[in-house]
Amino acid sequence: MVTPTASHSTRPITVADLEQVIAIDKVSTGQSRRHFFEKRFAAAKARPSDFVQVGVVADNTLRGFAIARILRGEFGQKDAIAVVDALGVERESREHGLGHRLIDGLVETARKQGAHSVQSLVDWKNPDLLRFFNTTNFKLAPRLALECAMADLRTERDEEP
Amino acid sequence: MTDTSRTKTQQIRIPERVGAEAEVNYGKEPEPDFGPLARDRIPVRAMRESDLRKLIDIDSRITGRNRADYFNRKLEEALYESDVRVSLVAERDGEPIGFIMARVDFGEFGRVEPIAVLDTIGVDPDFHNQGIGRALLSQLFVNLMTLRVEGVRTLVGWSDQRLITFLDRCGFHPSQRLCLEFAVK
Repeated sequence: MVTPTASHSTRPITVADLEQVIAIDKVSTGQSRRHFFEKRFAAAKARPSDFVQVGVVADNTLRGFAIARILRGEFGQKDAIAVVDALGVERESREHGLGHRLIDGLVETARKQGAHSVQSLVDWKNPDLLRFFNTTNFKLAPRLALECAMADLRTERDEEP
Repeated sequence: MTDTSRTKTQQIRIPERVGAEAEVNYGKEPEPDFGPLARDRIPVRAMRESDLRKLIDIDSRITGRNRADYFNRKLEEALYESDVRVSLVAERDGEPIGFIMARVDFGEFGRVEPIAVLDTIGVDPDFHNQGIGRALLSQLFVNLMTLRVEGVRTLVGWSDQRLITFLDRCGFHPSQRLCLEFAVK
């Protein structure tokens, strides 16, 4: 793997980076998530302590970004956690270690903001992303992700949470 | 009696007693189409600022912790911020006895389909096993459907058997997503 060059630097990203973030993400997901990112950046501006947003820049151009939200108590968790909900590297800069640099930046900023762990939900059918998180020393968390489609709500009686 | 008529007689099933399965009771009140829904029996409404103290009290009795800061922040998000939050309270005799909170984020976790994230649910321990949790979840689903949300996701501690069992019975199933973490401290 090629390591990032000296010209790559990590810095917080702001609303000024919005268009580049949307463009990088669109290449990865195949869809524009403009609404999502606009909301994220607006929320981060209003409550900076609740979000972690870092980018890797070279030649004054954003090459990659990572965005996490700090949760403090959701899902019954005692400690603050940073949840990665967007991560992207421009196609031309992939396989250059930028993802690792983004995770390092994310972890460091999350630590400063009081998070005890950084978490992410990764699709079982996305081996590239699973491999990436494996190489950045992520482990399986002692938590299960559960889902329910609206149509699946059943009507039996139950025990309470 | 011919052979044919004997066969017909043998085919008629006589109920053994009144009320047996084969006898139709036309005097009985008709069954509702889908049975009475939990949310129809238990009033569930939108969360209000005045609920806060009671919700913190219920939560502390469930978790053993005072999470006033958490609830204050959640209520603030629900009432004043632009994120779409659905925060509901179940009540009995005008008093909150349970709560549920979810957030709708179009695009979170790299997904593009509209998914809501259920992050908080609790029922007063004095009212467990009375369908309160189901009523809350049921009303949450109704509200989310109006937002065109197609599904709900949540995270549960893998040893939290009671919550897992409850969610299983409400139609939740394991996501095809793995929860990964990096310990910071």
